[in-house]
This record gives sequence, C-alpha cells and structure tokens, in this order.
Amino acid sequence: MRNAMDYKRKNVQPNWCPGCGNFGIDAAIKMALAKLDRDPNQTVLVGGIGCGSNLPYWSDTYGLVTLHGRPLPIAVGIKRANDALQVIVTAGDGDTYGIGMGHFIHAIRADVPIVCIVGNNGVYGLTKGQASPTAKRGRITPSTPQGAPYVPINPLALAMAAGGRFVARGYAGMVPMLADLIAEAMQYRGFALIDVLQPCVVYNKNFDYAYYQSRVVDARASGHDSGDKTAAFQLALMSEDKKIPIGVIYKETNATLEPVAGCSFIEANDIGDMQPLFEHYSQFKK
Amino acid sequence: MIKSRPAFNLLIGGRAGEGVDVTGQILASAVSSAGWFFHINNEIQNVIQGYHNTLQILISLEPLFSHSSRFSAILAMDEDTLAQDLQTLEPDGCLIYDEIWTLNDESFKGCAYPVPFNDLAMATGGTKLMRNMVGLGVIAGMIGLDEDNVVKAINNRFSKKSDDVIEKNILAMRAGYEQAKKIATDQRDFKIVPQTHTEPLLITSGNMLAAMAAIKAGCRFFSAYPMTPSTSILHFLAKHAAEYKMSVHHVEDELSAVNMAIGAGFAGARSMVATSGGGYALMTEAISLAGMLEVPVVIIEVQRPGPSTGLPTRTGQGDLRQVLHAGQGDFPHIVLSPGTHEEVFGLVFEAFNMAEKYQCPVTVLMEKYLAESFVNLPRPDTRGLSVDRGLLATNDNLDIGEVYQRYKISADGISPRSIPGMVGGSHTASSYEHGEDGYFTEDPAYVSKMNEKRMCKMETLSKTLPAIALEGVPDAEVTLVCWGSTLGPARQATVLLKNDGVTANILHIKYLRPLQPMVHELLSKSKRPILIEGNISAQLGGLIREQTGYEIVDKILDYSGRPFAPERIAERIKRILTAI
Repeated sequence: MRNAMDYKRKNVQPNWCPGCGNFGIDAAIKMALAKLDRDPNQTVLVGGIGCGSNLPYWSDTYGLVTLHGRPLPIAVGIKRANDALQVIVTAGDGDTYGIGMGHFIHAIRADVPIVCIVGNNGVYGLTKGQASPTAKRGRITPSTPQGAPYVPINPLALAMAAGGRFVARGYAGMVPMLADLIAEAMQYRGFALIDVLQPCVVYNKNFDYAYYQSRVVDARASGHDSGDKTAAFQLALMSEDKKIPIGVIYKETNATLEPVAGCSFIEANDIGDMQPLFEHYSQFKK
Repeated sequence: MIKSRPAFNLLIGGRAGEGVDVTGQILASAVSSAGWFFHINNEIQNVIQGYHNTLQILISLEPLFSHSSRFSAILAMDEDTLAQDLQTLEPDGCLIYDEIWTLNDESFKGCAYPVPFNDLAMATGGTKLMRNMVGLGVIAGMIGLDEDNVVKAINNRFSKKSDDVIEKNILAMRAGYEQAKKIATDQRDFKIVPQTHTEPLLITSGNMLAAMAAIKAGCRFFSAYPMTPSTSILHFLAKHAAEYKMSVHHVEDELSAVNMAIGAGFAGARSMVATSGGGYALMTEAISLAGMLEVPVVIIEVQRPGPSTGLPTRTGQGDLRQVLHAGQGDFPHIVLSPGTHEEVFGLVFEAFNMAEKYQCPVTVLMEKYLAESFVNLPRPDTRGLSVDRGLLATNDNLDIGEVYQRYKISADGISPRSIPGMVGGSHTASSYEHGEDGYFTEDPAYVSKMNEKRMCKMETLSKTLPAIALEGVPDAEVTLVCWGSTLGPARQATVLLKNDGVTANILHIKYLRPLQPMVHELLSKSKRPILIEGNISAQLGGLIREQTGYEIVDKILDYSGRPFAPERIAERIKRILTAI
C-alpha cells in the first residue's frame, strides 16, 4: 500500500501563500490516491491556469498544466484516449465557471468519468484579487471598485441542472473529509464535480477559515439523502449565510455507464485495412 | 465526319432542393463504372433550399485535376440557368432545357434542345420531382453511357427508397435516354470515346481522402465542431468510427475540439481535428500550447473565403498567413498543403508521422475547391506507407526513481516522449516555460535553451524535406508558382497554353512551413515566374520573399470566392506576356 507522501514530488515545494486553501486540496488528493492505492503512473492531474492549477507540479504522477479555461476538454481527451487512466482536474473557479464555463456544462453532459476539483475562493488570486464568477454581488475588488455587479454562479445547482450525476462540495479546511469525498468521486463511473470552499487568505479575507468552520455541515451526517435530486437542489439553493452543507450533495446510483468510447496507446499502431472502404466508395456516397 | 471526343463538360443548373446534386452524383457513379474519369465542382448558395445552384461535371478518358469553365452541354433545370449561364457554352455545345420555357436570349446562337421534362417524368407514373432523372437520361444517352451503368447507379443511390420509387426513377431516366436519340447530331457527336482499360476506381472528395488517410495512419481520436466546408470529414469519420476503433466527437466548440485532441495526443493516441478559418482562429491559443507541451496533433484547415463569416460555401486561399502565424510566441509548427486529390491521402498520412516525429502541431491546409470537389481516381497505393511514432521513452531512458527528463535537450531538439502509463515516465508537461523535467522555470539561461531546443526541431525537419521540383518542361517561357489546389487548374492551363504556343511549367509548394528547399534556386533560373494565388494580398508571394528574398513581380490573384478556371489562367498569362 502507498501512503500520501508517495505521491509527493521530491525536492519541490508548492509556491502558494502561507495559509492558502490549496494546501488542503493538495493533501486531500494525495490521501485519496493513497486510500485507493492508485498507481502514480496511471494517474494524470490536469490543471488550468491559476494558483490551484499549479497543483500537478507538486505530485509524482503524470501531470499537465494547460491553458486558462481548458483543463476540462484536455482531461476528457486524455480519458477518452485511455480509459485505464485516473484523470483528475484541479482548476479554479475562474478556470471552470468563468472562461471555461462552456466546457464545464458540456463535460458534465459528456459524462466522461473524470474528477473535477474546483478550488472555489471567489477571487482571481494569481492576477491579484479580481472578483471571480462566484464572488458575492457587491464585493469590492480591483476590477469591481463599485461592487461586483453580477449574480454569482451557483456551481452545484448548475451542475445538477446540466445533468450532473455526482455533485459534491468540499471544504479545504477539513482535509480528511475532503480526501474521502475525492476518493468516492474517483470511484464513480461518471463525471464527478467537487466544488471546494477554499479560503484565499490574501485577497478574500472575509471568507477565511473561521467563516467556513462555523458554517459547514456534513450533509449526509445531517440526514441528507444524496440520491434525492429534489432534496439535493434544495441544499444547493440554500442561503449560505448560516449553514453551508458539504459532502456529496447529489449522486445518481441507479445508472451505469458504458466504458468510454476510446482507445489505447498500443492500438494506435494497428493500421486499418483500407480495401473495404475503397470498395464501399466505388459508387458515389457522401 | 463527326467524331467522338475524349471529354465532355456538363453544367447542371437548378434550384437548391431540386436534385441537381443527385443528378450529378448518379451520373458520376455511372461514368466511373464505365471507366471514364470525372471531376465535379459544386457552386452553391449558402442556403438550404430555393436558390440557383450549379454543378459542373467534367468527364474524360484521362484522370482529371481540375474543372473547366467552357461547357459541352448545359442541362437547365431552372430558368435562372437560361438567364445566367448560357455564355459559358462552347460554340458547338448544346443546351438542354424544359420546353415550357421560352428561350429569349437573342445573343444565343448555339444548339438548343427543349425536353418535356414534366410530361416524361409523369408519363411513366412518376412525379415532377423525377424530372431530374429525365435530364440524367438525356445526358447519359448523349455521351453514350451504357444504360445498365446508369440503372445500377440509380439503384445504388436510392438503395434506401422503396422498389416502387426506384423503378419510377429508372423509367423516367429511360424516357430521357430515348429522347437523346432525337438530339441533332449534324454539328457534333457528344459521345465520349469508350474506355478500353478499367481498374477499380475510388469516388471521393478531398475531405473524404483526408479522413481515409487518418484512418490509415492509425488516428484514434477525432474531435470537431461543424464548420463548412470541413464538416464532411466529421461526418465520414463519425460514420466509420466503430469499424476503425476511432473515438469521434462532435463537441461544443473549436476550443474544446482542439484541446481535447491535444489531451488525447498527450495520452498517446494519434489525434486530429478539422475546421475552417474561423474555427482555426479559435484554436490558435491551443496550437501554441501543443507547441509548448510538445504534443503531436494534426489540424485540417479547409479554407473558405473570409474575412469573418465570408462565403461559407465558396473557395479561397486567404488563410495561409493565419496558419503560418497561428498562436502566441515562437514554437515549432509544420504547415502542409496538398495540390490534388491524389496528394491529399499521402500528405495527411505524412502529417501524422511528422506530428509524432517532431512532437508538434501539424496543420494541413486545403480549400473548399479541393475538399468538396469529387473525383474518381485509382485507389491510393498504401503499400509504401508505414507509421512512424517518433522517439518514445524506453526502459533504457525511463529512470525509475528520478524525475523523468521529458524535455531533455538533444542535438536535433527531439526528446524521448513518455506516455501516461509508462512506469518511470511521470512528469508534468507545462504550458509555462519549463526545464528539461517539465517543471516551470524563469531562469534566463534555461528559457533561451528551451526555445532553441524547440525551434531546432524545425531545422531538423528542414534537412529531410524533399527539394521542390519543377513540373513540366524545364526551359519554359513562364513558370506558374502556386500552392494548394490551384495546382489542378494551373496544370490544365499549361496544356491550353501549349496549344497556343506558350510553354509553361509549374512550381507548386507543398511544404510551406518549413519552406521546402530549392525554391529560390528554381525561381532564379526560371525565365518568368508568375504567381497564381486565391487571395488579395499574395500571401505565398510574401512568404517566398520573406524566406528567400525573391520577389515574384507578375501576379494573378483571384479573390472572387470561385476556383481558378484553367481558361482564365491561360488568358491572363497571355495578357501578361503581351503587355508592354
């Protein structure tokens, strides 16, 4: 059995600010991989661009740091090319709910079994604190000096409305619980979203660990039936002022998914026999 | 004495939705069965139904590379054809039109033959919709096509329709075939010389050949967003995906398409996308990503005229500069462009080998004219083709226990590629500048080294590219310089010029980036190079000047959205030669 440290890349240290929520997410991913004893050679972490998207660098697995907004299609392409791989996306709320929103909805619809972990801190940390699509309305940031004018994205409700079958919310301050959540998502045969409440201690000081610590509630432990989509929507739409439910919000259990229509590296050497095609197109066909 | 001729060029004009396409397609199948060669060029309005469309089908004893703008016959299925297209008829050509229309073009002096299309279609129990089958029969009879070949082609084309419907279509065709016997033959016999040799022929478009080459090359992943005129590649591969174990996806947009293909390429699958100019513009950030990650991916860009939405169903060569300069920063990117249908298959196959060998994006540029024109040709010879997956990590260089040096600096710029799943090959491939292990770096020495390593791959490739060769007579009076499918009409133009006593040869550039060797040498030796290009800014001319210092002064540029016609090229060359 491997332990979490086995997935850590030697001689490198994360470049996040002290107290960053990404440390919790990083630790939880490694704990989940260890819990399931995943082969690092068969694991691919895919980041976009942002603080959390650098996470692949610190892992002794295969990894990709891609473009802002594009980790999802890249991850889906990897999984479709080789279904044996465990593919995990580590992106931010700007990546996923802003510039990459189109891909988010369509990756859910495609339902390819990848785990999408979104560090949701309400800000663009890497570009110094502008409002992200999940920022509360009225929030004052360098790009919204009069207050953020937009209605914030509700990732969980949106994912469920798009047909998401595994929709969860984690909290970067409760690492063992987040690790369990990631492990459960990794075993799910479908697209799994984990929106992670992630304090940004530099640019979003009002939403710090103390804020979340006093509000998060384990949904299942409080009696939530994660198989009940109506109840799941109610939780997702709940005001976050007093309580924030975390854990698996919705998980469809009665459906099974066919293996991903894909291929493997080995097969690519096998050249097709062209004669049947040539024969077929000896008459005019479009 | 009236003699049969080796070729017959037909224009079919009609309203969209009236079966102009179907008529041409059935005729093409029957012609191919007879062993003759054909070239179909469609000129369609970008609407679904109602507007005047034309289909041009040139039929010949010899393989064809081009359409021709002078017609032996015109089959008018609508009145717009009478109003717009008659001047394209050869002096001894024949117009076939519906007898219900009056021919009031007084300048028209040719032979005109009215046919009761509707009556003949309905006399045999059919409907007015089958009038195109009457027209098909008339043409088949005129050119001496065996009626059985036409029946076979109808059966094949309508295989999903009921026996009754097929029978009625055949009867309508036979009625037309009978009519052909009445067409006056005192001026010209339209019969084509029968083909003596026959070999199995493939009926195909440039897009279909690109798709077939991808299959042959072991492409296992294809993603696209529909965009005219590239869409038939998606349709073809989606149709054959299961047979050839290809993962084919119509995704949400071109950003997704290309990024997904890059993901698949990173995971070890040969992958491809296809789009047109607008979609390619959306893909450019990711093309730069593939260059940085050193991930192989093949991109087919089928040009239509821009700017912006431009003319979706027409042809042009305005995207060369976009493709050459796609993406932020400097990175290796190979750009190829086939000249003929025959070249498409081999060049797309080669694109996959190049993408993996040089671990970078490869763009294959085509035009609507090549991509959607149908021809029949001998089946591509696949015996000499072999897959080269490039330099991959092996047990010798997979250093277990150490971080894998994915971007190890080497003399030729190529580093052994590890694929997820390979034990000991794990690394992070990064879009940020990185060191040999993929880990991001801002160390100026490393930043320079890695730029040099990547760009070195283009030099390595340059050394292996075939030198360009002149096509045709060596000491010609003029050298036609072109790229892409302008080659076909240019080739035919040299034949026309020869008949007029002008010798011409061709310099066709297939490897555009890196530019294949010897371009400057051959241009310097040629007596009078003339650039022929389908854009307003002479993009290839600019590229040649930039890369070789040679300026081609004489230019024939066409940006009308229509393909070059051989007759027009020949005419303009003669004008250039006679100008003082």
